[in-house]
This record gives sequence, C-alpha cells and structure tokens, in this order.
Amino acid sequence: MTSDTIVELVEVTKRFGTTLAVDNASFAVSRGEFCTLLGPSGCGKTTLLRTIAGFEFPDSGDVRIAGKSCLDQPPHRRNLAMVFQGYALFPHRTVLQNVMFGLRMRKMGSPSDIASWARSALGMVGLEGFEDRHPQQLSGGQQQRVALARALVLKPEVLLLDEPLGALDLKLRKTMRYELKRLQRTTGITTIYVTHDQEEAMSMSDKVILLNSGRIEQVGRPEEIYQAPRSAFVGDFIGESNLVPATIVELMPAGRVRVRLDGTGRMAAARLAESGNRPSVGDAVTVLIRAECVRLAPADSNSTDGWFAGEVIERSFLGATSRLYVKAGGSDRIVIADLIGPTPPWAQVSAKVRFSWEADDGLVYGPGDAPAAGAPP
Amino acid sequence: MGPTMMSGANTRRYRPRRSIALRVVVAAVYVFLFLPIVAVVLLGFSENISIIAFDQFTLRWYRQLIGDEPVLSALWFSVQLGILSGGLAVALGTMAAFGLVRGPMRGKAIMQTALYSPIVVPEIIIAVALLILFVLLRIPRGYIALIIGHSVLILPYVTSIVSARLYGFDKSLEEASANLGASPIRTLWEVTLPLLLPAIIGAALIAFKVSFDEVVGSMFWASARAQPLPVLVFSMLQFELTPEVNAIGTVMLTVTLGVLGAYQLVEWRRRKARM
Amino acid sequence: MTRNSSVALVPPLAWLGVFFLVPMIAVFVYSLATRTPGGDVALGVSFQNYARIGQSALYLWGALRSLWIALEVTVATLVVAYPVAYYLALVAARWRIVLFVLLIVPWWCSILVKSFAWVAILSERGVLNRALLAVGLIDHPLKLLYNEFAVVIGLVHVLIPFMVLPIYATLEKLDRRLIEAAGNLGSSPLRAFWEVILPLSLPGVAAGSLLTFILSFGSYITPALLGSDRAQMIANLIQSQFMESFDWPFGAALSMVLLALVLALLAAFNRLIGLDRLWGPR
Repeated sequence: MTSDTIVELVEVTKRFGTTLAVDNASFAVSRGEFCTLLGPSGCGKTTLLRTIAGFEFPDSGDVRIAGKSCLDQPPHRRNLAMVFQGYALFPHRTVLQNVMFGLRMRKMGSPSDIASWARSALGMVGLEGFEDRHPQQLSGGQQQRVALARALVLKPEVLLLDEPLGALDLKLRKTMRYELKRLQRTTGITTIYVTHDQEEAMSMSDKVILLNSGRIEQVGRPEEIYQAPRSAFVGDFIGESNLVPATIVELMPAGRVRVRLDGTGRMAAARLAESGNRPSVGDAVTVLIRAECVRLAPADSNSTDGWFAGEVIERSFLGATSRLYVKAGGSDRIVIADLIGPTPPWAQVSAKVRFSWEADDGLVYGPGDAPAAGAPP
Repeated sequence: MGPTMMSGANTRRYRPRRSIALRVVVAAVYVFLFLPIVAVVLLGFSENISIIAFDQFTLRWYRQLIGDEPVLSALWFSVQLGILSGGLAVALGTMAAFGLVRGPMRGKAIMQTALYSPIVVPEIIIAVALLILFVLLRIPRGYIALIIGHSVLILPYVTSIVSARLYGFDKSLEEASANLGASPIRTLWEVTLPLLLPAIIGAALIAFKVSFDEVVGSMFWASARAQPLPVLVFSMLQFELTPEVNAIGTVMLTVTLGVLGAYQLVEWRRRKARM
Repeated sequence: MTRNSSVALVPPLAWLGVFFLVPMIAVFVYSLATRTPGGDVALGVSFQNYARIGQSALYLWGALRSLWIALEVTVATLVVAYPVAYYLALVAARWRIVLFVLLIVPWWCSILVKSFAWVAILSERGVLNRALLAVGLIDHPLKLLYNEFAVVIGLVHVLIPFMVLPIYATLEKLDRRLIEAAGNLGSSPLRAFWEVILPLSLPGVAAGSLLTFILSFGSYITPALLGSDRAQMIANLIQSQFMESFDWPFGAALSMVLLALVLALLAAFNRLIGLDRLWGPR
C-alpha cells in the first residue's frame, strides 16, 4: 500500500441471502492505473465494482478512497463516475443534457461553463454535432461514448466501467478498446474495469485481478498472470490450456517433478507452479499445459520416447493459428494444441500424430489449488 | 399473437373452420353492447317525447340542457370533484406503487390485498360504511365527504397503473443519477418522476373517469348543495323522466370517451417514445 | 433504498386505514347496535338485527333473489361472452385491435347511462316493443321493464366485458401446438374445442364468473332503475334502510351479510384457483 494508492479494498465480504458473492477480497489500485476485475459470471466482479460505487454495502471489511473509508458516504457523495453496462443514459434528456447532468448535480460551475465543458467532453469522444439528439436516436457505440463523456467530464477520482463493451459487435469492441485505453492514458484517470472477456482484460490493463466464486485468485500484470498463473483456474481461464490430472511420483531439484499421468499411466516431467502450495509425493495434482506449448509431430513408430500417441479428431482454423483437438491414445482425453499458421497436411482430421511438451511448460498445481494467501497488490 | 395468414404450405396451423355462426353471434353481441349507447345518443336528438323512439331531429333537448342551471352546475361540480379526488388518489396511489414495487418482499401480499380491497368490496357497502364514519367523525355530507370517498374508490386503479409502469423501470438510470451526484430526492425529481409521468397522467385520466361516473357512493355522500351530475341524473330518473336525460347522458358519454381517447393518446405517445 | 420505499406505503395505507378499514369496522359495530325509538343508534352487542334477517321472509327472499339473479346473470353473460373471447383470441386477426377497442368503449360508459337507456328500450312504448310489433311477432306490447328480466338484461349488458377479458387472456396464452396436436391426432374442430380448449380456458372462465357474480350480486343502480319495487336486490334493501327507514343498525347488518357472502366467494375462489390471478403483474 503506497501513497499512490487511490482505491483500497480491505477484506471485503458480501453475501446475498445465503450466497457468498465476495469472500474476503483485498486489493489496491494505484493512481493512474488501469485495473481490471476479470472472471466468469457470478465471480463477484460486478459486486465489487458496485461496492466501490456505493450501491452495495459490504457485510464486513472496508473500502477506502484516497486513504479514507468511504463506507459512510452514499453513492452520490463519492467522487467516482461509473459507466454502466446498459449505458444508463437518460432517455428524456438530450445528449448534451446527459453529459451536463453530473456537473449540474455537483454544482461544478455556472450553466455556461457547464455547457462548454460538456461540449468539449463530447468532442473528446468524437461526438460533436450530436448534442441535441436523444439517446434513443444513437447507435450502441455512440451511446457508449456519451456515457463515457458523461463520466469523464466530471474529472472523477476514479472511473468505474461495468462491462461497457458487452453489447457491441466485435469490430466495434476492438476499436473501442483502443479508444478507451487512449483516453485513459491521455487523461491519466484511475480506471477500474469489469469484464469477463479475458482478451479485453489482458490487452487493456496495467493490472488484472482475477476472481472466481467471490475469491481473488491472482493479482498482477497481464504478463505475470499469463506466464505464472497461481492456480489451475487462472491458467485455465486465461488463454487456452490443457488440464491433465496426475500423481506426483518424484520430486526433483529446481522445482521439477516427475508425475504419472492419470489414464495412461505414462510418466512425464513437469515444473511446480508458484502457487505457494508444496505438494508431496503421492499427491493428486493437475498439470497445466498451454495449447501453444503442445508440440505436435507426425506419428513415428521409431522415436516414441517422451512422446504420446494421438489422433486428430477436430480442427479449427482461427486465422493466425490452427487449433487441433487431439484424442490421446489409450484414453478419452482430448488435448488442444495451437499451431501457428494453417493446418499442416499431416495433421488433418483422423491423422495419427504424436504430441509432447517441454517439462518447463507443464505447470503442476497442488491438490488444494488455493491462491497464495494474502495476495500482494 | 393469434394465427394470421394461412399459407398453403402451413395447413397444419390451427385455423378454426370459418364459422359463420360464430361471426353472427359475435356481431350480435357487439350490436347488443352498443344498442343502449346508440339509443341514448339518438334519443337525445329526437323530437317526439311521447313515443320513445327516434322521431325528428332536434337540438331542443340540448338547448334545454344549456339553460338548465342545476344540471350545468352539477356538471361543473363533477369536473371539479374528478380533478380533486383524482389528484388526491394519484398522489396516494403513486406512493403506494413505490411502496409495493420498491419495498421489501415481506408482507407484500398483505399490502397488496389491503391496497386493492376497495375494488373487491361492493360499492354499496363502502358507501354505507363511509356514511357511518362521516357521521361519527361529524364530517358533513358534501364536498369533503365526496372527495374522501371518491379517493378511496379510485386508489386501487391508480396503484395498479403506476405499479405496472414502475415494475419495469430501469433502475440503472437511478443508480447513474446517484453516481453522478444527485441525492435521492433529486434523482426522484430529475429522473424517476419525469419518466413516470406518462403513467401518472394515464392514471389521472382513469381517476377522473371513475370519479365522474361514480353514482352509488356519491348518492350517500352528496348534499343538496354539493351534487355531482350522476346523482342529479339519478333523481331525475326517479321523479321526472324527460328526454333531456338523454342529452345529459350523451354529454356524460362524450366526457368519459374523451378521457378514454386522451388516455389512449398518452399511451400511444409513450410507446412511441420508448424507441 | 428498500427502507425508504416502504415508507412510501405509509400515507396510502393510513388513508385507507382511516377511510376504509375503520368504516368497515364501524359497519360491523353498528350491525350489533339497535335503533332507539327516537331514531338514534344505541351501541351495544345485540344480534337482533341478524335474527331479523334470518326470520324475515322479505330479507331472506331478498338475499336469495339476489343470489339467483346473480347466477342467472353469470350464466347468461358466460354464454354470450365466451364466443366473443374465443373469436378475439383465436380467430380474429387484423380486426382484433378494432374489436378490442369496440369492447372497451361500452365498458367505459357510465353504468347509469347504460341502465336508463334500457328503460327507453324495454319500455312498453320503447324501441324493442315497437320493433316486435312492427314485425308482427307480437300483438300487444310485452311488459319487459321493471321486472327481473330487465334487471338481468341490464346487468348482462354491463358485465360482458368483465367476462370477456379474463377468458380472452387465458385463451390468448394457450399454446397453439396443443390444439394443433389434437387436430393432428384426428380430432374434429368441435372435439378439439371440447376436449382441449374449453378445459384450458377454465381458469379464465372461473375468474370472469367470479367477477361477474360478485358485481351483479352487489349491484345497486341497475336493479334500482330496471327492477320492481316489490322484488329488490340486497343493495337496494340496504339503501332503503339507510335512506328511507333510517334503521342504520339493521342496514349495517344487511351490509355485513352481503360482505360475508362476497368474502366467502373470494375465499372459495382463492382456495380453488388463487386470487393473485385477479391482480395482474406484481
């Protein structure tokens, strides 16, 4: 917790009835940072955002803004601005009036000042000329930009965004991601972003907070999260991965292990993930191998050492890569392998192939699989 | 929506045999429904009073109506009463709607039953009950009694209409308003009520209509000086039967159907504005 | 926000508490009171009013007659309204909206106006008799007015929309595929109706019938204008106690009997089907 910390959550827990929506979550966001709350539906990310905004009240724990607890402040007194999932633009007001709304409520200036600030905010998002239209007359992307302008014009301490790009089509989403990031960098506003789209989170964020069922699984920069996932869940959620159950047979130096893979009974070398749990021999573990780390080669009866036999049962051409679904010989397991470029001729459907991975690319996660206690910011 | 076009390929679509009998019956029912209304309107323009049927066109009864002081003041009184009791009911009913839709779930069924009970109880009983209460509280029959009584009868209608609109209200608009700095009261004023306005206006029109046409309760609560039009008409029907009542009836129909038209207009505009 | 919102319930509930609940209790209290010879009300606990109702042929007959008329009206209205609901829900296509509006219009019109219109129509010199005479169906005018027949006609006329709408609502929601399935399995349209549509429409029929019955049972205006003086319905009897005889305690007892019967009907309906069907969206 540095003096640069703007938003801090300390051991926040929130229940809805019997459901535990947020379980002892703690994290901090620094000034000017683009921080994303990422996770599947129901993981608690929106609840956390709404708690920061003041629409939910935590059952226990504290929420601090600029060092001071804000729990006694109702939503309209917090110096935050939020962009809602449905944009929440006032249909009975014009675009300009929408953008002026917050300035009016917070009495930030004279009417003419407010109007001119609103106009320049609209200019910043590229909507000059739309001032007198009503939100219903705008496209989804335009509405989204109005919502953004309405928030940014207040120059809030923190900008909150609740899955703002969800309703847009893919191309527009990608454009808006770039726009948002550019705006954030220009204005330097601290931003907390909520999404379930991991590609979005990874491409935009300075820091990613990954949530699962109300608990924080990992906090870190996108590269850290990708390269050093702290749990099988994290590894699985980000990118395309294979999760193989196995049993530890031998612990070796430098964090290496030898495991016996369930199903085939074959042995393989792998590396312990930095999950804070140290498994022992005989523990049931999970081995995580990223799809792009699976090496594929044509079936060769000669060198079977270290390779596993398989058969291609399906393939997807993703443009820059090809994704192959390989049924591992001797079991029902499907292994996903990503290759750069189009599918090679020897890897068409029903071809016999062999696959393996570098020992260092196989991350082993212990039985508990819990995230490291007291995840640092 | 019901089955529409019958395409050749889609012959298994349920399409009842084109029954002439059904159409005849339905048409007859509609004729039956409109018969009295048409009769009243026509008779209001009919010259001959000894034969109760349409005779010669005349505006005689309307001329008589315009000069009929008690009728005109009763009409005017009914309008005022409709506005005042309707306004009171709208205020209370809107509050009730907020309480029902936004309030906690516990006890909601009981609240709903309580708020809608005036519709379920026969009017005569409400008329009698309030009469007794007015006597006990020494509230004289007349203006105040009528306003109170009508508001009780109208309240469920307003509650229902505003609740229906409030139920689907987008709460994120209010959250956005709060987030942007508006206190709960300002949010109510700037966001919620303006968006609720069409429903409130609709409810106000219904409220007016219910009050305007109210007979039974008015009979018990009115006084000689404070007499809504239906009460006057009723006593006219009991004592002196002149064709003028047909003209009065037509005027009453015009007022309430005008209100209906206005209500449909408000609804139509609201639906248009949604998009 | 929920706490604030339930505060909003206080004024309307208080208003109804004072001007609805308390009056109802007052009626009950009065029903146990007696009238002094001087015309005042002596409060107390006496069941003599109720006893009088039970012992007096006039009032017993009045209650029975009201029940009977309400029953006649309900059945007649059902017979007349069902085809309309059926037509609107399952047959009419482009005309549905127009027909709907045409159903709402008479409903909207004042019951007073509609009732006295029937006076004009059913009178011996009125439209109906003159038409029947002109066509030659009768020799001299029929006495169609100031009797049970006129009351039933008047009430049916008023209550048709109340019966049509619930049945329409139920029929409209019917899954067409059920009916198509019946048709595919070889049912004639008549059997499809009898075995599939009619049973599925029963909740709407029940709701409409309940509404119609209760409204006709407690009606005042129509019997007052179209009925005879000797054969009155409950509401008229109550009114005469309050406005003519000035025996308020007795009138209150009559009111309580009416209320009890209505509540009993509602309770029975709720037990069988569920009252929430009447309220609409929560």
